[in-house]
Amino acid sequence: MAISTGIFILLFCCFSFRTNAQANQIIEIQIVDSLNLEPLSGATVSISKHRHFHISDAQGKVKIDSLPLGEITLHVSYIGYHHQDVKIHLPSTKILRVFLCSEIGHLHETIIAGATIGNNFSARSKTIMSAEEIQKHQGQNISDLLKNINGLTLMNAAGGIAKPVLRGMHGPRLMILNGNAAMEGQQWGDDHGPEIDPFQANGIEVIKGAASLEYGPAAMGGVIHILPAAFLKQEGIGAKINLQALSNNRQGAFSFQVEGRKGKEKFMAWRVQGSMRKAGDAHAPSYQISNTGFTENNQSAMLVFGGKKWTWESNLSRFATVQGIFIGSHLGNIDDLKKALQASKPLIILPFSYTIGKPYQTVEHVLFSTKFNYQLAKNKKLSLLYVQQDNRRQEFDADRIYNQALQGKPATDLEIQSFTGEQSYEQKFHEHWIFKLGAAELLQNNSVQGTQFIIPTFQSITLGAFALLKKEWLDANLSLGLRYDKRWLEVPNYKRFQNSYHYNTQMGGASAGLTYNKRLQKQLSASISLQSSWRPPAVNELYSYGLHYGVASFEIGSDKLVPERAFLLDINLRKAYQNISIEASAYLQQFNHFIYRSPMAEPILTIRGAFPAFQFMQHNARLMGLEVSFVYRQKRAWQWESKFNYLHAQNIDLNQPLIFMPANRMEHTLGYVFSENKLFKLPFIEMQSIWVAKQNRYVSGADFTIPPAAYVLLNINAGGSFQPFKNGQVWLFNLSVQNVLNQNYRDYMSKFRYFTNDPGINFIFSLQIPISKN
Amino acid sequence: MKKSIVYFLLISTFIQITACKKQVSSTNESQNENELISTVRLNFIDTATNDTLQFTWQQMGGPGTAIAVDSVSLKPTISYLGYIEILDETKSPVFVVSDEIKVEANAHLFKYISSTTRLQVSNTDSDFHVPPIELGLHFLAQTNSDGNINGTLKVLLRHYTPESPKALSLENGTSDMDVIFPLKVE
Repeated sequence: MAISTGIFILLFCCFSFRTNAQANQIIEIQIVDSLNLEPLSGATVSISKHRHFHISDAQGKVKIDSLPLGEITLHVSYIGYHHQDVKIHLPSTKILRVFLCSEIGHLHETIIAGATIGNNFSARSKTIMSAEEIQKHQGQNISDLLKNINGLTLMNAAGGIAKPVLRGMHGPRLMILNGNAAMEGQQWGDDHGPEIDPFQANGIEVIKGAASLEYGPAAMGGVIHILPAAFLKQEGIGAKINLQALSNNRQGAFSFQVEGRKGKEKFMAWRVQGSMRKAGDAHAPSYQISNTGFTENNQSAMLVFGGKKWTWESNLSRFATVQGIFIGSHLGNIDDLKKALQASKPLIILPFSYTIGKPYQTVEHVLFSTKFNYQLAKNKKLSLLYVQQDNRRQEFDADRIYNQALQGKPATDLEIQSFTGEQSYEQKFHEHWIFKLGAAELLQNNSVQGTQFIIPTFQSITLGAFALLKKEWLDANLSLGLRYDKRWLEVPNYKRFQNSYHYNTQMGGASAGLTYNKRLQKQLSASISLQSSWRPPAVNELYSYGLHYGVASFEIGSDKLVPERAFLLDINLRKAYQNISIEASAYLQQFNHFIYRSPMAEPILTIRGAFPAFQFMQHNARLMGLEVSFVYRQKRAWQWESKFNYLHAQNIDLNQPLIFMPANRMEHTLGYVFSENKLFKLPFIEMQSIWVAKQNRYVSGADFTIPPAAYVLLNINAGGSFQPFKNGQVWLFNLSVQNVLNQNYRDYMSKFRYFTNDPGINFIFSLQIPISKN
Repeated sequence: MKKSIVYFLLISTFIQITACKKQVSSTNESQNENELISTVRLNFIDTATNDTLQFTWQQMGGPGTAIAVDSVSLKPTISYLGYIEILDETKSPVFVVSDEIKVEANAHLFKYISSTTRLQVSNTDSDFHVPPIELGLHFLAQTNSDGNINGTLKVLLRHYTPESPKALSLENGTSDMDVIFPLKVE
């Protein structure tokens, strides 16, 4: 970081506050983008009652001298960004950092706030994880980063597979936005993780409230937006190397990127990146979790053209992985399952290996997106987006095929192609009003091969239109959103064993939302969201039929399912006082026709014996939750952070808990940021304890075993930056130890908790080496 | 600027066109090349009379569908020489799974579990291991004379993998087949 004197003040989305003061009459500020923290050069800073303008330099910095003592107000503005009034009490010797919010993203409402940054007022943090936080928490996949967000838990499937679960919502109820593109694959599978290279993430935000209506039915439970680094804001060329090593599964990862920019006002910016990752078997405290190794191989390229009023950004990326599936989980029938459940450790334990044997899955995801933004006038903006994706997933079961002609073929072989178009128009009017109109089209084509039936071949078309309206006051803002979607789904004639099936459905529904934010006092603000959203049943919920060897269960879809509707009330309070900030969110989500997997009374009989069966059903349900976070930050000294997370999910019709919902949890982090020394800049160390309760809300008999016991994990994380060469770049390093006590535990949301403990102690080292030529 | 818009439109049209081309014409009937074991047939040869009795367990519609099963009806105090046939009768010609099991004998084992002491079943053939381990495509069934009884005969096919080998323990492996026949000895 260029600012050696440190971050002193944080301003998010139209909130301003005071800073402490020391003696001087010169003030230096740096202006950065609130999302990606990139410096904004060419921003204008003016002082009220003065006529002078100051323009920020390439580092986004402005130095203003000859200022009077006392309080002044700086007016900071930049084209395409919301302006900001910053009150400063002079004298001050610090470099102030001003975060400007892009108008493009400004309709986003982030209700869930996560890691609050800075030592003062934690306003509505739009960026839940900044680039620095991400560097601190790099793990083995994208979900490892996400779990640092309050309210977000993971659904693990041993090895490298993890799916984010936000407030109990995942899969088809939770959208994952990778840059500009909503990820479209086989999201329904519990062991299908998001196909995103973790090295590409430079920021993470969670979009909830009225603004999520921009994203369609899949955003019912919110949108997790993975932000790639923005393109270079100044001419030049730069490169970055990321190295990572993880001890538990003897994993190594490497990423290299080069980027450049030519031209100032009219410019071309580009980036090429590639990464590789290889991991062996994960290790529980007392045994190997066999066949959980994986490899990953990703490439991406970005090309941006821009002018004074427009930008045109295109991205092409490929994510490819081979994932071993824990060998002890693929079982014959219910008798084998019982045997495995009774054992205290997996029935098969092999020595450590990088070899990936059967069962395993391979996934290849190719994503192309191109987005054109055009500033029609000062207050009018048009944007066009086209996304094309291809997701091929092959799952190979432990070999059980007798017919030689079929041997070697995957049990499941799905290829889904998705074509997305999105057009939106945004306009400011009457000073403080903004509206946004948009349309979205999604065409999907799923083709199915493989030796087992899971879901059928299908084509679907989804059309949607939305309107968002926002009004801003000095201390409040109100967003309203409306959306309508219609989906046509065709399942062409297919044969499953002896019978033929064919389906043709169309479903349509409206969604509406309202979010109101209000600053009640100087450092207390509140927001309330009301939302009604609609989601048509997914293909697997409708038509799946087959055995899932993973947990020896039989899954049956129901073609009688109707769309589900959710009503959400979400209240959020944020209070800051000096070094302390507290945030609390409470939500109530009421579902009509909530779709879930329900155990059937009778097992399914097959030639391989009896299998427990689950059928997709719908009932009215209610999810209630509370998220509280407390942050205390002393500059260059002690840091304390606590998070508390509670979820209560109930099937109202049957008056019983909804199963497979995350357990309540609590996290505490105690850290210390040291003063700068000769070697390191901003070195820090922190210790974290994570307590996860036993999920006491379950239906007895509905699951193979009762939920695992509560557990406490201890993690240590240390890092900082240093300058290995004189006048060279600053390298960032991080060393963390997870599960320091090598605790035996099983997490309720882990798919393999029936058979194995979760991984034990893990040392993670990561290093970021920037290379740039000025 | 104008040039760029033209490029943008050109490229996106190109992509859209190629995209449309790429779409597989999947309107025709799709079919999984699945393998279904539909039929298990037990053959009992009465060593006294040389008569052959056949009992069939059959599920033609795949998992979860109707099962047709014969009662294994045996006479008391008889030694039967038996063999098992496993078939996929949904394929034409009928696919004989038991032939494949013979080839992969080292990875398989049949277990015949009678619910009553009135019937004792033991495997008579063996695989290619050195020394050989029992297989169970052929078996000997012996009934005794303690009055009429109804019970069950469970037929299990265990499948072993290199990670969970047969040579190490017969308790290893997973079940590839697990069917139950009603049993009568009268």
